[in-house]
Amino acid sequence: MKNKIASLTLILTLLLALALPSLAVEIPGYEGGINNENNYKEVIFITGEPIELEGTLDIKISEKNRKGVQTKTYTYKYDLHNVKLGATLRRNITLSETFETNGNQTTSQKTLDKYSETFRINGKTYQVQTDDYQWNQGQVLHQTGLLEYYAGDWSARKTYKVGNRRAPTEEVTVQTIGNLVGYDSPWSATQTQTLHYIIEFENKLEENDSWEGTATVEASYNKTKDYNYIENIPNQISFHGGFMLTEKHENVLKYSYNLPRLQGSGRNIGQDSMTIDTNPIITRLNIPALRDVRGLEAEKDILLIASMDGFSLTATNLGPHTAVSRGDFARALANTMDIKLPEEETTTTRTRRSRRNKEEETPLRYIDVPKSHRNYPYIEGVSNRGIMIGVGKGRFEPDRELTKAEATTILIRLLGFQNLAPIGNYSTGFADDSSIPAWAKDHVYIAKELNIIPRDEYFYPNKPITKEETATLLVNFINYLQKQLKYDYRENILN
Amino acid sequence: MKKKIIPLLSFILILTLLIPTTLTKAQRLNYSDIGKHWARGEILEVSALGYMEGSGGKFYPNRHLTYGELLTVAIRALGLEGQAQVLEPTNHLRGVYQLAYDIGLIEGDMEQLRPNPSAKVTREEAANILGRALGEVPPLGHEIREAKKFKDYNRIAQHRLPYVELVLQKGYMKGRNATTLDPKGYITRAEFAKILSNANDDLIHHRGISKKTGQVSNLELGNMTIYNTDGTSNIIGYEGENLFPVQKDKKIYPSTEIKHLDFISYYIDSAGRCLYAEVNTQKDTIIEGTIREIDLENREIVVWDFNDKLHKFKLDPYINMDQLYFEQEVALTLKGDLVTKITTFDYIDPERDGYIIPGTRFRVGTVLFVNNDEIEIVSKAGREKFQIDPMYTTIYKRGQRLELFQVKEGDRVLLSFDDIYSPQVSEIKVEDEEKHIAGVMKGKIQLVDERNKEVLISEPERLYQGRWLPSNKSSERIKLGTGSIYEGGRKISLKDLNKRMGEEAYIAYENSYGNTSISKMLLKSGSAMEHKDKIQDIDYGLGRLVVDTNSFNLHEGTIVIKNNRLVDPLNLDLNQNVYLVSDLRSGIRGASLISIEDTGIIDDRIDGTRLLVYKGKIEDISDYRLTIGRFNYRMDKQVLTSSGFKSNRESEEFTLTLDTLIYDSQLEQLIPTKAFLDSRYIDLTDIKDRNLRNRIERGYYKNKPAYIIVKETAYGKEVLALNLIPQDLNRYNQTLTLDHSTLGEIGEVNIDQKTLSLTKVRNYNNLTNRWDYSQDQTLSLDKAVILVNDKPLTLEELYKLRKGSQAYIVKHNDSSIDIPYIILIEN
Repeated sequence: MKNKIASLTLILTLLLALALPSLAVEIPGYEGGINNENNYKEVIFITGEPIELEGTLDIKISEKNRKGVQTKTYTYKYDLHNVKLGATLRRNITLSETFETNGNQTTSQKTLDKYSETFRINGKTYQVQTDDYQWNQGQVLHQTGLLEYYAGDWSARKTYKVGNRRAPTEEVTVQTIGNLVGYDSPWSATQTQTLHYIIEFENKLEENDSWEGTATVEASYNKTKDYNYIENIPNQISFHGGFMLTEKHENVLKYSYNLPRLQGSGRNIGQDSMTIDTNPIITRLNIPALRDVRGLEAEKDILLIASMDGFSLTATNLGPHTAVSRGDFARALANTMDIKLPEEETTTTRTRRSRRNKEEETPLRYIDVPKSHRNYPYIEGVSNRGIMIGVGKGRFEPDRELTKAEATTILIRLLGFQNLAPIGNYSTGFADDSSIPAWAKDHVYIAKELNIIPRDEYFYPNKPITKEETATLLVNFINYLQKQLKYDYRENILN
Repeated sequence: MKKKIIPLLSFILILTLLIPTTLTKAQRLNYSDIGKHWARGEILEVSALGYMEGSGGKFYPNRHLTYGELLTVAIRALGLEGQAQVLEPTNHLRGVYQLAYDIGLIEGDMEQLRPNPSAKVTREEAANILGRALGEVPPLGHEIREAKKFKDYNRIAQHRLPYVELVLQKGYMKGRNATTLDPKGYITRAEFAKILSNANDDLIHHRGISKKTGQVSNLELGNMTIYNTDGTSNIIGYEGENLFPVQKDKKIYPSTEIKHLDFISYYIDSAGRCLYAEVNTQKDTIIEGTIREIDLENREIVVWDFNDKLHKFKLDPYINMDQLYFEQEVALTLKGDLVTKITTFDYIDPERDGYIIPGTRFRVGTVLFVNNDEIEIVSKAGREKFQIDPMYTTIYKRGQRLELFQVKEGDRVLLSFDDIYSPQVSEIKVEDEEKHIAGVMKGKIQLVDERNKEVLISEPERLYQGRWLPSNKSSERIKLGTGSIYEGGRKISLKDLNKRMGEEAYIAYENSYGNTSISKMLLKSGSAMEHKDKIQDIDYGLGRLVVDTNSFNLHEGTIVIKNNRLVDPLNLDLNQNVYLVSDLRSGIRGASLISIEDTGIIDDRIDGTRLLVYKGKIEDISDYRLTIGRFNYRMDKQVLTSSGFKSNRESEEFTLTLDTLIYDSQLEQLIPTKAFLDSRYIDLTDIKDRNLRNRIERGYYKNKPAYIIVKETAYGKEVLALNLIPQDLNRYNQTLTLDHSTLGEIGEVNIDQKTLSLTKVRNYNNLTNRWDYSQDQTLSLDKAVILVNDKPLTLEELYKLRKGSQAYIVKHNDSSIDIPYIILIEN
């Protein structure tokens, strides 16, 4: 009995550790295809020509926890066709993945349980059974303050057989070298897979009838959350306009091949690409009541942050030129970056109550942030993720001004890029480099490199950051997540 | 420390009542008789914690301890005084005795209060009773070691020995000196205070008191916050009714004496109130050395200082021990044995200062200018210039290395650096053609979809060869992508287009990943005019250019296209051939769309090299060298320029390599370079046999006319390809005007037929000196030599050609048939 409880708590902690950024790409299929809500596409090369197939894909994912080992089982069912060529493909796959968590890293291993594939074209049938397919994949995931980065590699060998399975007349062997890399963040998520295929065809009846080819398939899955300001056309309405969030998948497939020309000499070299988008999902945001920000350069930025409840929704005055407090910054961050807040205590059931009592016994994380503090849940939320860690010795100083150096440090910590900064002594290039606190230097350097902070002559690290500047900084950061990061994970790999 | 005890007459002190802690304590502790006493610190401590007390403002430190006092202290230390009082409410001492018997501290006659409360206590008896009070199993038999170290060990009463040993082992009590314990000597109050102070940490838990050490972080509203070395923190009151005594430099002060950032040891009771505190007034000492041992479990480290001494320290939880390593140089700031600060000296040799993981410093942008030494890019952050060095900088695209000249203006590039300061680019990664301009479209804005970031364009027309061809679709969906929208020189957003419905716009678009998306869109403003000519004048500062003797305004929104790439107006140059669409508004012509028509294939390249095409006669072949001379006796050797073939005097010698492609267009076959070079050993005139001579002549190359393609670098001229042409071309006149140049884009390649279709064809008009648009055409490649990016391509390798590559073709008109002899391709 005790054992069970122990494993249960372990599961709970595991689940907690895995409950992560809200935006994550949904990967269609087990490798190299793209889809939207109702259509799936991929390319196969086994006949010696690139054949684009489309159709439907059913995905089932189940999760299990046994003795603290988390496993996921994926079942894919493909039903694809190419009308023009009269080709059909049916494929059923079962994969299982086991996870191992170590601090902020999770490694996982995927293996193939069951596989069957039947491809029909021109009266010819290519078949693959589980025994003829060796496939495995390893992945590592790294969690930073806000983002998750992951990379994986796989290798596989698949043998298609034509004719009798035991004594096939023709065989196509496809060797796969694959890798993937991606990230999940609250404003965008991208995964890019690169698959290299080495294809060898052999006719068992005729010795000279054989060919070799190579193909590369790159698939990129992107999910981006974007915002738009929508103005109302009537002038006589209680609100002039508001923000809308759209969330959308954009899947890109690019392939290039070097295949034989089945009739004639030379090779068949080429490349192509395609995109499938999903229909955007729309959310309207609340309309903030702010008035004293009108006419400011950063008005739209401030309104956007306020729409997401980063600043008060109901206040009419923000004081855009006054400094932002550390607690308020935590709130703005938590609400714009979808940071999970600690659960509100409820007293519905007895177990809940007992848990609550336990919680009350645990000391406060920060002695200067009582539960009654207006920013308590946000401060807890950002502290849980290690984004803001207090000023040391159990203090958070929630009602102190936030300096520019602190704000910059927090944003880079969200990204987890501080480790990319140079080692040893170096200069960030700002004229006031010497006044940047030691703990902020790496972060300031990286923020400057990534254009999150402007490349001005001076940085003024110890100057408090105003609410207007906070809004601009956060919107810049959102744009960074939406565009630059996506570029690095997609265009930089595909092109 | 050894101290001589002067026995004093003992006062009988009847201990009657215990005054509960706090309030008056600070005053009560100001004993008048301990001024310079050796144990005054301990006396203050045990008094403050309520173990012992004086009377009448005195402590009588040198008076001998009595049984009554000893038992009272023991009962108090166990937190049982309340119980004692319950047992005997009227006679306190009796209660104490009763309890002491009950829990086995003493043996004797309880009724008689024996041993007598006023009897003096021996050292061994004090140790015995204290030992019993500790409630631990005492050492026995061979475990008795400490006591045996003393010469007078035999004088210890056997029944007391185990507990004396316990107290000795715990280090609470010491001998009079190293060899004498003096068990039968009487103990003074001060001595016992010292022993109690030593034993304090083992006793306080009986009374629900805990001892903590920490630093005072702030004092506000009568409360102070202390961060303890065990990682916890406490908030305690220190004013008014919470006032507690504080010992500082062996003197007692009220708790208001505690200052911010003081290190204190303090005792709090179960209610969280502080009873007593000691301020650590020891001076900061600094120990420097290297770490020898790290004990993560007990949070201890051993430091080897530079005087060859080892020190062991306990670290508080605020110190991240993960960051410590063996042999690390550290400086520890200490207050007594409390580590208040640890500074690590992590040495990185200055040579590696500023080292970054190669590639983690990077820039993404669009090439504005590039030459042999510099690359200037435009990015979100503005224009930035970096150095490049052909020996250091590598350039690649799709995993293949590129020559610098293949980097074009308008290419999107990722520059990466190896060092944080270096202005020198270590790698340039060029994006492939997904982002190239697929064409220019004109149409009316019909609908704007902000959610999908799309614009619906009605009546779309595509620009092809200077004409707007209507699309077969009535409307076209086009994505915004990463492009931008302009109205005049002003950038506008997709939302603004909502108020521009039905207006016409020019759109430079790309076909990235199967989607048509906007690279740059400009709203049409005014009536259109078209011009096609050279740029006669340009002023970047004023943003004006002159084409076809008309002056045009350039602005931010002007779409400028070159080599299928969107470029900056700064890339416009004098004498470029352009196709220009302008809008006339209020008498001002604004340039809306400028397409630069030159391909630059035979122009000077940015890396200082260029391709030269000669037409002449092979004068001599020598060891990997080739001399080209006059084409015929009336005509000099010819060289191709941007305005056709021009006379080029003097014979010239070129380097030939085994990689040179030699093609005989008459026989339509490749000639192995070896055979070509070896032919120099034959002198045709020596062969007398006519048949043999005729046969050899086919493989004899001296005096044959040829087109040769040469790459000129700073180190000389190297022949890339040579195309032998038939003698019958060798007419004395006209031959010049029969050669003409064609530009175009590769369409379909037919590998079996060995033909190539050419789209976007422009022919050079030798009369008007302009490029004229022409029909798409199909080229037969039988007689041509093909160079792709300066590398010869044989007809068997035709499949390697990429659709959409730029081609420069030299054709010869023979009997009204155009024969392409040279095809230069860049992709």
